[in-house]
Amino acid sequence: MSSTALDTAKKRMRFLLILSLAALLAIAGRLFWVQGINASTVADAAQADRQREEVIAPTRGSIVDRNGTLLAVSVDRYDLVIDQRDQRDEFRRAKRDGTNGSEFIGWDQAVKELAQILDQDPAELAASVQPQDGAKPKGYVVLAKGVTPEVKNEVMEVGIPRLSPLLRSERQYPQGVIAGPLLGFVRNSEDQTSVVGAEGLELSQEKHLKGTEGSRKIEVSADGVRIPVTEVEETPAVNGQDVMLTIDSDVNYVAQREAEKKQKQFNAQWVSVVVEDVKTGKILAIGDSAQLDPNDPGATDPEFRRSVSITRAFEPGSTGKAAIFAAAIDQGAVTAETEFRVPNKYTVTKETINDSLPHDTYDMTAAGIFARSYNTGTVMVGNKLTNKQRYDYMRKFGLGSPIYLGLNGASAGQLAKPENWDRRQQYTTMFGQGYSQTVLHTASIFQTLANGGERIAPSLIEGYKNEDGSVTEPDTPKSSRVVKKETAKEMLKLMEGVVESGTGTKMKIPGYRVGGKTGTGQAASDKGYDGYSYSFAGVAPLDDPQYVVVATMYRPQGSWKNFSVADTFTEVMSHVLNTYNVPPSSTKSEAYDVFVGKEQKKPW
Amino acid sequence: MTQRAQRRVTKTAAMTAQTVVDGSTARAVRPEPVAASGLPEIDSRQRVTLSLVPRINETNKRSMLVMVIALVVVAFSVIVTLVLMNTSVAQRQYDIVSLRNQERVLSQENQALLKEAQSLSAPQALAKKANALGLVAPGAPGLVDLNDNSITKSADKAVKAEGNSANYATLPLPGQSIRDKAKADTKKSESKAPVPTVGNASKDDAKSAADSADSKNSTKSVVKDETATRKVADDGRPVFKDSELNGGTIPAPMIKSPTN
Repeated sequence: MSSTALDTAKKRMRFLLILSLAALLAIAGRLFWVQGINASTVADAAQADRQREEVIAPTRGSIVDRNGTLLAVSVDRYDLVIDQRDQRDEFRRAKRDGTNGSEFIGWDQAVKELAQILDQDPAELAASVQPQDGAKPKGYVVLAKGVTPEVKNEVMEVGIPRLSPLLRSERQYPQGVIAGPLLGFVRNSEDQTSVVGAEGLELSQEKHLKGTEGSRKIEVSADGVRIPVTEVEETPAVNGQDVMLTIDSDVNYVAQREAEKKQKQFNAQWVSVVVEDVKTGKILAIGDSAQLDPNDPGATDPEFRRSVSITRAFEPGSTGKAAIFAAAIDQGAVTAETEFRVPNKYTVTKETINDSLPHDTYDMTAAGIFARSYNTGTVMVGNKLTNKQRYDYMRKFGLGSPIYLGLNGASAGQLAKPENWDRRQQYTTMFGQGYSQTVLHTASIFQTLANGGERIAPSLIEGYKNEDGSVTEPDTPKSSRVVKKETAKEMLKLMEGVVESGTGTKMKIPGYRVGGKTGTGQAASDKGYDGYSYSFAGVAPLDDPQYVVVATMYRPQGSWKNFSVADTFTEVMSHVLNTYNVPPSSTKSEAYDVFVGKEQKKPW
Repeated sequence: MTQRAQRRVTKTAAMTAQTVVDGSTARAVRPEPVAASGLPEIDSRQRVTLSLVPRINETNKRSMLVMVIALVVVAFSVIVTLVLMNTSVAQRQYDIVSLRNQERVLSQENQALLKEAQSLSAPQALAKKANALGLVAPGAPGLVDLNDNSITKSADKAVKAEGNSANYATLPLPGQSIRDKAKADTKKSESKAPVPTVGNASKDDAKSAADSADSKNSTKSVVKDETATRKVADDGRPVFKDSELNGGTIPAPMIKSPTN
């Protein structure tokens, strides 16, 4: 070996030694860096890498009626999703006939079974299960939405690889169409995993129903399995409150059924029945002729997806006379027995007021005018007050401002200021024309009169039930005095006269003293007055008024002579009286005479 | 002198020890040495102690063995305990997962049953069932005055089927689509076939209807079949078989087992 070769070898060895030392130093340095200086940062990074945070979704609160019947409830549903990529021609699964062992099945067989379970067309289903005609396989194809847990379990038994169920919450309405427009409906949330209110109470009570999300922090290993002994940090979800309504689903059913029947009978545009508790202002039922099934709101005409009882303002007609008579008696301008000479035609400041049917000139009491609903007489009574006085009373009865029940789209109606009334309007407002209001406004006026002159704002929400069973009361509804107690008492006698011997004789209910006011209003459109509205607002029993029922029919078609909402009113009112075990009236009628003098039976 | 005597003593002691080891003949080989002055007598007790030394060694060996075995056992049991604990913790995790799943399944089952119960007891469903049984709305109730024991108003008779003003079965049943009902109403003049509620799988409500139809003897479908096939007598009442009536005038309510 020459000396040069030896030198080279030595040099190499030295070089390798230095290199090894350098590498060792680098590793030692790195170790020192990782374990000594940077330890906490690295530990945190590892922790963050292991840790997963899951959101715990709260359950949306239910909506129940006053008896606890479920009207809206959230249930678990699954979306079935398949990943088309990396699929083989055949796959292995556990046998479905319950025997042990496994079998290989092909896609044709799988799709056939799947189609049967999902009740879908096999050809269509096959197209979504597998990519067609060499198309690029998709990673996410939805096969079915919102299937029940049982269907999902059955589908999972088919054993198709990469088919996974995604849990989501779905809203269901077990009672179907009962109180549909009040409940409203929901839409999917942005992330498609839950629902949010879109209309009705579902929308307005969103903050109560929704609840608060919880979270869970867990640590998972590299293969995605949870590390057992690690700590779990969990903030439980707070479920939404249950909203308890004042609605009685049985009464609401009767109201809806009668409304629908009446609408069919006369082919009306809509019919509405409202039932209100006199003493508390709580709404027991709002029945609309147009049915809305919140499970499928799209099936209903958009116009009727909200309750017409609160969204549609119309000229009430003669039911509006109640407010005017109450105002006149309250101001002491007339008493129930003040006498008037009532002609068929009455001209005042060049405006001629007609009655709907021609009649002789009668000497009548104020109560008689109310009972027979003569416009001419009403104008005579109303004229005893100034426009401003009447307007103030109408406002106090709640006209001209929306009634907020927790339902969007509540109409305020239209009530012009008295200084803006034209020459004719100052008289028409006395008999329910020239201003507009909703059915609920009518109910509220009669609730006021039946409750001794004290108006309690109508309410639809009884309370909010928390998860622990305690109940949070809503704000107490506003109450205000509109007329004196004596005035309200007189008005009940006037109303009894309507049913005893006036326009509402068909509204009698056996065993109970009933009072109310009929109303026929002209319905306006772009072309002028081209239709009618028929209504009756009634109170029973008169010795201790408990319930108000308002039945309204808008724009019926056909022979006007038959138009009547009498059976609608009596059917609903007698059902309500029966349901709540209201004792029959034991006192005698207090109705006033209609005419001055002995003779009370005079032609219409 | 002192030094010498000292040495002798040491030697004597060594010899004494040797004799014990060698046995009883040793004494004859080496006679008892004559002790120098002041030489302490050898204590017999001390000799016994000396003879015990090897025995002490033997016990040490044994206790060592015991200790090793004990240590191994302890180590082994520690390992076994750890493994057992680990598996039991893992097992608990599986249990929790399976219990969670069980809870979910049960609550889903509960949801489904509750919903079905509510749907079956919905007013319009009850009305339809009552109608199918030939029940009619009652007339006005009679009134009795308890003060003077008089009948202030006698009850009205219920009006039979067609004449009755209250037609109870007009609203769509829960799960029955309004669209289907509207279609059925227009078709009514042509055919009296029951309204199909199953079939359109793309709609949520149709699916919920399909669920209840899945359970074969759903009361809803039973009612529907009856209304479609039941003969009606002259007085407007449906005709029931004697077996259905079982001696009564209307059939007893059918009980549906929740397990079906």
